[in-house]
Amino acid sequence: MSILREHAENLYADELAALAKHDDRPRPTQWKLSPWAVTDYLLGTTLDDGSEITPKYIGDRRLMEIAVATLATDRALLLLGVPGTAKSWVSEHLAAAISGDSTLLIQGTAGTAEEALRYNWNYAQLLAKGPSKEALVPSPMFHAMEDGKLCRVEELTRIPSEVQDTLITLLSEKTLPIPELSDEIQATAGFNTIATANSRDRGVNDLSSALQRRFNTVVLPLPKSLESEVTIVQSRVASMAQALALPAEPPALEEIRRVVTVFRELRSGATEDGTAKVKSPTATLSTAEAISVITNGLSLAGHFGSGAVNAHDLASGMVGAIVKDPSQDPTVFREYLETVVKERDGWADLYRACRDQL
Amino acid sequence: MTIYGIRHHGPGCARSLKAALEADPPDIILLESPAETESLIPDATREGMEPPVAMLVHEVAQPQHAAFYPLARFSPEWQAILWATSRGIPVRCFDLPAAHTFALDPEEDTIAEECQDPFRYFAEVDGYTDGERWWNDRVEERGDSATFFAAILEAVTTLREELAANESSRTLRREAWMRRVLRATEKEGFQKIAVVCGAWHAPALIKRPPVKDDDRLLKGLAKVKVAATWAPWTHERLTSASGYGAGVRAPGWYDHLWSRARHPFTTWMTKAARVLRKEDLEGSSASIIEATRLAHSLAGLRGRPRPGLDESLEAMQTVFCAGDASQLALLKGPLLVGKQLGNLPDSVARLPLQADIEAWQKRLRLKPSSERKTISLDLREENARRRSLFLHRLLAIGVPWGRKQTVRGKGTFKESWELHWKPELVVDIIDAAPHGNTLAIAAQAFLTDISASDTIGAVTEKLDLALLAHLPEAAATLLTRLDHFAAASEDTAELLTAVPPLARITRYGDVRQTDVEALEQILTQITTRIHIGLPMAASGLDAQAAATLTNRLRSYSEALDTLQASDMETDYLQALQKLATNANTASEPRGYATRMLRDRHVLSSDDCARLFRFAMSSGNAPAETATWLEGFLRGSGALLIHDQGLLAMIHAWMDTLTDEHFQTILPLVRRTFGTFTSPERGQIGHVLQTADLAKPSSSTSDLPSEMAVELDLARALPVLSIVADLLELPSSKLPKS
Repeated sequence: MSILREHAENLYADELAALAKHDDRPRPTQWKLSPWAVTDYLLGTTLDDGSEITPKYIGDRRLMEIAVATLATDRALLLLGVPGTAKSWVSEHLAAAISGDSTLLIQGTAGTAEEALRYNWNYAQLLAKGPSKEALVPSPMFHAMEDGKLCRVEELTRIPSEVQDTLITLLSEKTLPIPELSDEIQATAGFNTIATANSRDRGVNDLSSALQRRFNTVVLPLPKSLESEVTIVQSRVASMAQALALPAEPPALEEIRRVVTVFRELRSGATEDGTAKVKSPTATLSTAEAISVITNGLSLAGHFGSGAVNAHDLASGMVGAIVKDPSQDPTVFREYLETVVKERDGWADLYRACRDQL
Repeated sequence: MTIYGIRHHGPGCARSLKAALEADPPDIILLESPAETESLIPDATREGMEPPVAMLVHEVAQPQHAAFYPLARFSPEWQAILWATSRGIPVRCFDLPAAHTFALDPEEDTIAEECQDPFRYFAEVDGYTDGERWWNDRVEERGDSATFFAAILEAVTTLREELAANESSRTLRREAWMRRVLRATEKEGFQKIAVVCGAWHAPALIKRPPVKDDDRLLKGLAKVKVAATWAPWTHERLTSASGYGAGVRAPGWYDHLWSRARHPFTTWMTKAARVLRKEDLEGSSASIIEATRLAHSLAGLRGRPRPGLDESLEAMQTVFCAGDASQLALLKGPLLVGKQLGNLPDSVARLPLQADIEAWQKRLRLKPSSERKTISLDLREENARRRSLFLHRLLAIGVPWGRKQTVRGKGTFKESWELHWKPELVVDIIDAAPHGNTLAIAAQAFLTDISASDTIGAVTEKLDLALLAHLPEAAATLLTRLDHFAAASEDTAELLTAVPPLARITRYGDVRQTDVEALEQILTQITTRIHIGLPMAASGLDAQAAATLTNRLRSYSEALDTLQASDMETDYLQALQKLATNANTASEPRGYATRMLRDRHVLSSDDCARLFRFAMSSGNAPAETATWLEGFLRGSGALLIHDQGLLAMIHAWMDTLTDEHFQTILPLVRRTFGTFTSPERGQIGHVLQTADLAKPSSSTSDLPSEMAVELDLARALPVLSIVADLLELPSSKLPKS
């Protein structure tokens, strides 16, 4: 049975191995690759022996350099951005490239408790033998500290503030006290934390300034140009189609460009040429959503359609992604269809398909 | 001969140049700077000379035609000058004299400088976005090195050969001149010549074409008379953002690098944190440590020996600003650019007017500063009055150092000025210098310089300024001139513009202890002439002229109101009556006059309604109807909401219209109502919907009638009489108890 979604370190094992072979620069303790090689892994390059490293992050090189340099200075890294700007994606690949292990993950939710960040107890053992090392159930953070690896905390700002502050000691003292055993775990070199947070969540559980101070913050922006966004969607759709074994042909670049254009225009409130104002719906309309619209279309086309993606296959996904608030969004989208899409040459099929779905 | 190719403002170049000069002292230095500036060089080492300063070259006949050559302490040229003058080694400025440059027709520069940024070719190869960043990284921020200048020379030589671009004729002439001076210097017998010039010109000085080619280029150049002087300069004007061609991105950063603090980078980050802390943002010592570490690690990642400006900014954004780039903008003024303003020692020769102005500045403790500063002057104090006088005199000679702000609140004894010293103001001072050697004389000369073609409005403005600047002689001259002008003027519309400023002067004149009696006399004469001429002036005008006239009438009415002279008022109302009833009067002033008469109760509301209906009736040309309404209602949106009498009149008229007439008149009415703001229109609509307009309500008493009944007159009377006293109303108008 094939695994639905491979971890980054397995999926890109070849690339990581190739990079490691050519990497003759100094590596920080416990790092699998040097900071230069990590940057190359993220941004893609061609090695001297011709092996191709695919780009994982398409965007500003400087941002990735700052992220890698931050981890190299043993400061914790906070990736901030609106949904769908590849925060978790970058954090997974950073962990895969640096520690060779992207599985030490704590998912932040409103119900995340301190134990999830520190350790838990095996109560049967605890009752039978009293507090002991054997009765301790370590958290991913615990493991990361012991093994000198990177620990990922997803959606940091979803975690209640009082639980967030547990991280302060971890990040500044690099120790995890276990008062029950009068013991502590001291982090070994190579340990660090990558947290991600959604800037739309601002004000829900804001980081205390003490915790904020312990992070270097890198803001991941939405793709600047239409071209770069189309490239991102294109490459992700291709790799996902492969992984999900979708029966349809990946859509032509032109089809992707149309979806991305619609998303960008609705998101920014203006047409790409800047001549017309457009109302924005409540939905985020991130790049990630554009990707899912297209993979959704792929699967529709493969299973129920002609096998090639057409406007109808995309329309239902698009309407689903754009119309989130049933009271306002349909009007906004219809207005956009009537004023912008209808007028565009060669977009008549998309116009009709979306009208039918609304 | 050694050629030191430099960039004009670069601390790395400056440092390397200084080291190179120390290591291999020349016996003369040739500097790329117009020949005229040579006389300024010895001043550089005087006590009190503080860069940034600029060498200013200007045409004597037309001082506005000027060029600046700024020097900061991190400019290689400045360092070369300091090094040479302190050792008694001659410095020669060997660029094409400004006398020729100014005389050349700028259009003669046939080939525009396409090669704005030649170093971008190196930058692209090296993976940089622009030449400035590349030069900064590779040249300015590297450590000293002996082969520095040889490497630059080789690079630029190759670049110029490869590009083989057509240089502009101006550049070619400049380089020919440089070669000519170079040859002459060699002939004089100097053995070790050091040439300090922009890197781009260096190859042209080595590969010299035959003498006769240069002579041909330089033959018969036109020439004008120029003069050179020093001027204080600011860091802000050194930035490329200010439009200065050889500008740099962050003079503050370069200045910091030059200052050679003991731990330059840590000091820089600490300065940044302090700026942010002042704005109540995060910038603790712990953050400084982390930001510095991050910058170093970024520099390592990028393969650079030490962090530069970009690394520092990225580290600040990541650590201090939580990734938010917008907060970095706070650093721009205080840190990246810097507030430095240069200073000249007293002994440096300058124009007498300039010296006088500086003396005033010192006396009044008004120090020029490149920061915007607002000062508030209480004119009841002697010192404040003198400051106001000084700033007004500067305005009179066309040096807008201070800008007068309108002061809110009561009282006419307060003035507020926004002061912002810009280096270019020196040019304005030089421009004014021929008019007199002291500020008072120059201002007087400026103000009394009136030609026959000047308008009355311009003369009154000058008179206003003369009084504010306390130049009584100029004021007296101007008053006489004004009288002559007014008597000779045929143009009533022009006379109208003179009244508002004059009215203002007579009202506020006594605060400044000015004699207003003569002025009042002139004002009476002018208004009399206006009232006589107005009916004539308002007839037979085209739409444009009528609109201008109406606008002037509006401000004239306001001015007259403030004067509270009842004779003038009566005359004015008579004139308006003629305007309103004369069929030849242009429609817009006619509408305006009708309205004025209604507001002042000269016309009864019935008469007004009649005139209104007449003007709006279908017999008139549509354009005429529209402009009449414009004159009648323009700018009265808010008034219509409250003056229900007026609104009711329009409403009643609207009811009488037939469908057909309504359709033709609608666009014309829209033209006026469209100028009201949309909340005004909304409120007018609201009033129309809710208020009972059919019931005649007098505009004098909007009180509901039952409230009026409840007034106890006996008890109200004492209050009323005190109010009447306060308002200086005649007591006879009070009701008898």
